[in-house]
Amino acid sequence: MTNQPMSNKEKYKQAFSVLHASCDISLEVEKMERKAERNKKVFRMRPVAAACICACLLFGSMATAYATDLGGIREKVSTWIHGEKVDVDVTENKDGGYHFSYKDGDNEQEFGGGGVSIDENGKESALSAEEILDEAGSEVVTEKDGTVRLYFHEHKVDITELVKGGKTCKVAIIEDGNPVYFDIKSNGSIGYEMTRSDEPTGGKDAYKVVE
Amino acid sequence: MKIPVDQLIGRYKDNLFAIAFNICKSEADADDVVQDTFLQYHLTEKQFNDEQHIRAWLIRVAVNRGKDINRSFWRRKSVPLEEYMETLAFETPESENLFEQVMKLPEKYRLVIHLFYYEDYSIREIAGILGVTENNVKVRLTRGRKLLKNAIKEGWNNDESTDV
Repeated sequence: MTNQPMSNKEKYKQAFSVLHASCDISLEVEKMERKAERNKKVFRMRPVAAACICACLLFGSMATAYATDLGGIREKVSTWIHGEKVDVDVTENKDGGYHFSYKDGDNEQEFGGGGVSIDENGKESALSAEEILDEAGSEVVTEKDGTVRLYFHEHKVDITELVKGGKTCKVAIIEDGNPVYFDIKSNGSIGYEMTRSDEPTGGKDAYKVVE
Repeated sequence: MKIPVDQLIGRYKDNLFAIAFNICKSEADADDVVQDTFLQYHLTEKQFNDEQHIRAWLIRVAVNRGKDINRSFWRRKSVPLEEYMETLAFETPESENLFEQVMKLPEKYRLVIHLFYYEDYSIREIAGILGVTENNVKVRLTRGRKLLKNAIKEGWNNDESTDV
């Protein structure tokens, strides 16, 4: 009996059959839904003009883990959250990230975050707390009644109809006389992916202008 | 049709993990991709034609999610590839070398190679999953194979056609 040489497919499958997902991939619907809720609150930013700003805010249980390494300088920053002006207490941690907290009625809200800006040469610089909060000042939220709303500083724009059917919603908000362009697309049931830029993607005419 | 998510997890979690690892090169990120992919399946109201339709959809979602994670600033701290490979039980040194050389390929070649050799998809099917042209898939496959052949020499055969 002769040994047949293995085909490339057989070799490849043998090599990659060592990979296995973690055993604790959750089967529990409740856990999955909690994760979906958490993912909705993760901000993801894309390049703005020539430079790139990447910032991320983590809420809830992730923020708790993030906030374990505090002890840096504390300061208060005025910013916009959900279209409302709030004063946020900021504490820097030694990883270059921040812990944020503010009063929402009687509740103390906490979250953590950090970010970098990348210039044309690929050089990274840590964002300040103000820059991170400014990036986070724009947000897409699905309200309890199903309304999808874009928050940007004091602006609250109902984009429910514009995001229907998986279309990319294009909105230009005029602030201080200058347009800020938003491209928003549904990311399935997970939430919305948003691009914010000083320049339009494609033609300006495609954007619904909001004063 | 929709198959219960727990059944799909049993059938496809390792396949999705391998695809996600191929993209992210991180065990932790790949696990997140797998979880998120099944979560999207659980939440989607989409109806599927058959199980192959579901499989292709899951792979497409996993690929997109893996790319999202690669683009995002907030990545989980990952173990270096060499360190992670030490935890894997390769059957032969040749398998280990093939794995290592594949992971050194640029992502766009690596992913096409994986879908072709591991998932047994045709060029047309890969083009559909990745949303690129068949010609683009052929080019990536040819270049990826050439790089593998240069790296592995006699450990990689020359005899396969892309006309599938």
